[in-house]
Amino acid sequence: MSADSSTGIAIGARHPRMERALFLYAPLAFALLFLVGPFYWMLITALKPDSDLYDPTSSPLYVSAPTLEHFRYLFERTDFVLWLQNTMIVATLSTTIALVMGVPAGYALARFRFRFSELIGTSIFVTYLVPTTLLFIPMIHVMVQFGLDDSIWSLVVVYPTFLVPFVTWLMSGYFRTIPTELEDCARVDGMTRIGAMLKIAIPLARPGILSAAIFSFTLSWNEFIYALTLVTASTERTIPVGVLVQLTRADVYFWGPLMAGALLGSIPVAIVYSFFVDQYASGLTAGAVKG
Amino acid sequence: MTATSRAAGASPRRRLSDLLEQERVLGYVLVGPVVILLLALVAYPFVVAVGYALSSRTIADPGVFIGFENFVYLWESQIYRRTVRNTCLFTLGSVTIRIVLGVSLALILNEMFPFRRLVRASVLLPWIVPTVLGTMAWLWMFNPNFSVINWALVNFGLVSQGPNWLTDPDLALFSVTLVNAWRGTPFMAVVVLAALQAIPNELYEAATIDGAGKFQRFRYVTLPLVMPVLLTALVLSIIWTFSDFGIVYGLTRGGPMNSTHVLATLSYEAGLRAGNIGEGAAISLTMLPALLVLIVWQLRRIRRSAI
Amino acid sequence: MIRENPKIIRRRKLGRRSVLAAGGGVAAAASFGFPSIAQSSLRGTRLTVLASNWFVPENNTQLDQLAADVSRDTGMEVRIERFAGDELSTKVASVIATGRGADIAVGVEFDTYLYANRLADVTELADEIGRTYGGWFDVAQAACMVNGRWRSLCIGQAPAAWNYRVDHFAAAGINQFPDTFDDLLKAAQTLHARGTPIGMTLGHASGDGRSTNYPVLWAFGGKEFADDGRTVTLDSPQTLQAVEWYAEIYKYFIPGTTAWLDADNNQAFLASRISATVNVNTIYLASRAAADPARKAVADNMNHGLWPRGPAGRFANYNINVWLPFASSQNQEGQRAFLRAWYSRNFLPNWTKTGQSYFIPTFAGFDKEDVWPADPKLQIFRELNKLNRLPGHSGPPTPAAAEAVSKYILVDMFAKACTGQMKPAEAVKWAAREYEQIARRRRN
Repeated sequence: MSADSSTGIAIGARHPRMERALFLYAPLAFALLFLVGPFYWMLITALKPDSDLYDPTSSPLYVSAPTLEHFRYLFERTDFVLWLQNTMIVATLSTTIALVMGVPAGYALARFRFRFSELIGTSIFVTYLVPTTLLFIPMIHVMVQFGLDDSIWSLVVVYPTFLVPFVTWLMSGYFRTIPTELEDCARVDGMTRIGAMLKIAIPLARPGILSAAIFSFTLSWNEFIYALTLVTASTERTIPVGVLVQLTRADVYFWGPLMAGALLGSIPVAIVYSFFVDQYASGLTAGAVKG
Repeated sequence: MTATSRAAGASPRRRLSDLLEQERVLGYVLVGPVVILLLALVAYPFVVAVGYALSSRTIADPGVFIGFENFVYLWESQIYRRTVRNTCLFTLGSVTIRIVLGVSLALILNEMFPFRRLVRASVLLPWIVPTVLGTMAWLWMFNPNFSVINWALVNFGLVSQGPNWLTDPDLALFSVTLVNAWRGTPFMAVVVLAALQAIPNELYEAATIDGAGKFQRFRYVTLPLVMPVLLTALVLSIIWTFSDFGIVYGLTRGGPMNSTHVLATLSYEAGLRAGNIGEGAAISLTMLPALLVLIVWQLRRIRRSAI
Repeated sequence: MIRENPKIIRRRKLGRRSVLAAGGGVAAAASFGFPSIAQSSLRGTRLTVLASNWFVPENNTQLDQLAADVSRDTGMEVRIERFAGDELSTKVASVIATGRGADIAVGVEFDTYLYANRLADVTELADEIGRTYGGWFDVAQAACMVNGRWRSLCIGQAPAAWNYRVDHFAAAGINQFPDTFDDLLKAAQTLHARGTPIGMTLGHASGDGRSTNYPVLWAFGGKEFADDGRTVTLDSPQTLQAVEWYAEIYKYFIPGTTAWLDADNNQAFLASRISATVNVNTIYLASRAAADPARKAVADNMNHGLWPRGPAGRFANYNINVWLPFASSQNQEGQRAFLRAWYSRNFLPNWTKTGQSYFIPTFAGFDKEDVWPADPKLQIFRELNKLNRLPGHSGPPTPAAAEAVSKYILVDMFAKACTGQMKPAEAVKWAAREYEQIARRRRN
C-alpha cells in the first residue's frame, strides 16, 4: 500500500542488507515457523503411512512415501462428507440470520435517537459476554421445547445468539464512520428512512458487513459445545465434533485421519478469507474503534 | 417504499409508512427482532442458569434453593482458587504474546518483500482452523513419544531429552497458553496491519520534515493512530481468552492435577462430568464480573473518544 | 493405560471388512429368539444406542453386527452412535438432563447411582440374564442395583493385574509373584538393590490411579465409608497401616511414580526400566503383537500376577462399563429386545472371547464357559475377574465415592506420605477431612 520508505518505521533504510535480515527476515521466519509450522506438520502427518508415523527412527520432517490412505479413510469410513455439508449449511444460514438481524439493528443504534437506545446498545453487547458454558444446559431444554433437538436446525437457531450481538456492535460502529450527508440528501429528495438505509448506507457499509459476515462464518464453523450437546446422530454432526469424536478410540487418536480432517475442515474458510482479507481487516478496524 | 408506492398506498398503509419515518418508531422496529431473539435465547436461559447456580440441582435431580451455598463452597475450594489463578495467568500470558507477536508481525507485513500476499494470507491459518482441530495438531506435536518439537530439540542438540509439554504440571499451563496465543496472534496482526495501512503517508512526511527520527515517528505518529484499534483488539482478545474452552479441553481436559483448568473447563467438568449443574453454573457465573468491568471500560473509552 | 499399537489400528481396518463379509452368513443363522418380523410390535420403531470405542477393535464391529441383526430380525431400526469416552459421558449427561437423544448408552460404574431415578427398572431382565450365566458377581450388583432394583446391566470390567518380569524376578531369586504384602515389600527391596526396581502409579492417572491404590487400602482393612455409604470411616488404624506399608515400599520404587499418568507405567515397563507394575493387559497384548523384537521380548519375559493377600483379604479395582436404559425412552420394549440380544448365548460368549480378557463380563458362570483366550499368560484373568470391588466399598459406589475418585484423594493420601510431605498419620487425617467435606455436601 504505502511506499515502504515513508512508513516511518521502515526497516533497513541505512544498512539495507544486514538490517533487513536481522529485523525483517529473521523475525518473519520465526513468526512463520510458529504460526504456519503446525500446518506443515498436519500435512506431513496426513500424508504419511502409519508405518512411518509411529516409527521413531524415521524423520518427522518429510514424507518418503506419501499416501492418501488417511484421506480415503476419512471419506470412506466416516461421515466426513456429511459433516462438511452440515457445517456449511449451519455456518451459512446462521451467518445470514445474524446479518439480516444485526445490520439493521446496528444501523438504528448508530443513526437514530430513541428512548433507551444507549441502554439497548450496551445490553446487546453485554449478552456477547455470557459464556456458553453457562447457557448450554438451559439451552438444550429450550431446543427440546422447540422440538429442534438432535438436528442441525437447532444449531442454526442457537448460533445467531452469539453472532447477532457481535454483528450489531460491529455494524453500529461501522455506520458511525460513514458520514450522514448522503442519506440526508436522499431524504431531502423524498427517500424514506428505510430506503436511505437500504440503498445508501448499506452499500457504503459493504466492507463492514463483509467482515461481520466472515467473522460470523468462522465462529459458526468453530463452535464445539452446542454442536456436541445438541446433536447426537453422526449424520448430523459438524466437522469439529465429528472429527474429534469419531477419530479417537479410548485414549487413542487416529492421527493421520485426524490431521487430514483438520486440514480439509479449514480449507473452505481459508479460501473465503484469502479473497477478502483486506476488506475484512479494514471493516473490522473501522467498526471496532467506533463501536 | 418510494414516493410512488406511498402515493398509491391506502390510508392505513400510509399511516404505517408515516410511522416508519419517525426515528423513534423505526429504531424500535429495526432493533426489535434482535432484542426479542436475545431475550428468548440468551436472557431467558441466563435467568434459568442463575437459578441453577442458586440451587443444589444435579443432572438427575432438580434440587432445592440453597442461596449462595455453591459460591461459598467455591470460595473455600482449592481447585476453584487454583482455576481462577490459572485463568488469569492464561489470559495475561496469551494476550501478552499476542500483542508482542501480533504487533511485530503487523510491522513486518507492512514492509515490502517477496511473496507478501501469500505470507499475509498464510499467517491467518491458525485463526481459521476450527479451534478443536487446530488443538489436535498441537496435541500431536506435544505427544510424549512422537513429539516433533522434542525431536527437533534433541536433534539440534539443544536438550538431551524433550520436556513433558502437557504432563508436567508446571509446563502444561505454559503449553496451553502458547497454543491459545498461536490461535489469537493472526487476528491481532491483521487488525493492527489494517490500522497501519490506514495511516496517511503525509503524516510521516510531515514528521520527517519536522526532523523526527525513526523512533520518534513511531512514537508520535504510528503509535497514537494504532492505539485505539489495538485497545479494541486487546479487549476482544481478553474476552475470548478469559472464557476460552476449546484449547484447554482439547489439550489437557484441565489436568494434570487440575494444573491447567480454566473457569470454562472447570464449569463444564463440574456441571456435566460430575453432574453438579448448580456448581457448574456458579463457576461460569463468576466469569461475568471481570468481563463486565472490562466491557464497561471499553464502551466508555469509545464514547469518550467519539465526543 | 491404553496405548495404541499401530498394528491394531491396521488390523481394525481389515477386520471390519472381513467381519462384514463373513457376517452375512453367520448372522443369518444366528437368532435371538424374537417373534417373527410379521408379528413384531417393534416394527418401524427406532432405538438409538450411544457407545464408545472399545480397545479391542473387533469388539466394536461385533456390536455393529449385532445392531444390524436385531434390526433385521425385529424391524426396529437400531442405530449405534459412537463418541469418544469424555464426549460420551457428556452425551449421557445431556440425555439424562433433557430426556432426549438416545434410548440406551454405555455408562461407567458410578452412573447408575448418579442417575438412578432417570433409568428404567430392568430387574426382571437382570434376574433372567443372571440365571443364564450362573449369577452376577457382587460387583455387578453393586454397580447396577439401587434400592433393591436393577437400573442398569453390567457389560463387563477391564481387570488390572500385576504385570511382572519373570526374568528379573528369577534373577533376584523370586520364582513366584509375592502372595503377601510383606513378601512384596521384600521383593521390591531385592529388585531395587539389583537395579531392576518396581513402580506403582501414584499420580493423577484416571485408570491406574484407582486400580493401583484402592486395593492396598482394602487389603489392610481400611474403608472410605461405612456400609451405609454415608459415614466416613477412613481415619482408622487399618488405613494407617496401609499408608505406612506404602511409605516403606515407596523407598524402593523407581523415582518419579508420583507424577505418573496412565501411559507412564506402560512405557517404563516396555522400556524394561521397571520389573513390575499394576496395569490392564494392554502392555502384554501390545507387545505380543509387536514386530519389533525388543518389544516382543518383553511379552516373552513377562507374566501376570494376582494382588497379594492382605490382613483383610485379596482385593482389586477395575473400570466397569454398564448399559444404561434411559427411563425417558419411548421404546422400552426395544431397549429390552436389544439388551436380550446382547446377553444372548449367540452373542455374549463370542464377544467375550474376542476381547482377549481385556474386557470381561461379570458372571460367575463364565468360569466354566469357553470365553477365555488360550494364551497361558492370560489364564490368571479368570481369577482376577472375581476380585473387583468398587470405590466406596463395602458401601455402594455413591456420588460421594465418585467425587473422591475424581479428586484423587486416596491417591494423594498415599503420595503425600510416600514423598514425606506428610507423616502417614497426618496424611490419613488430611484425607479423612477431605472425605468429610465431600460427604457433607453430598448429604445436603
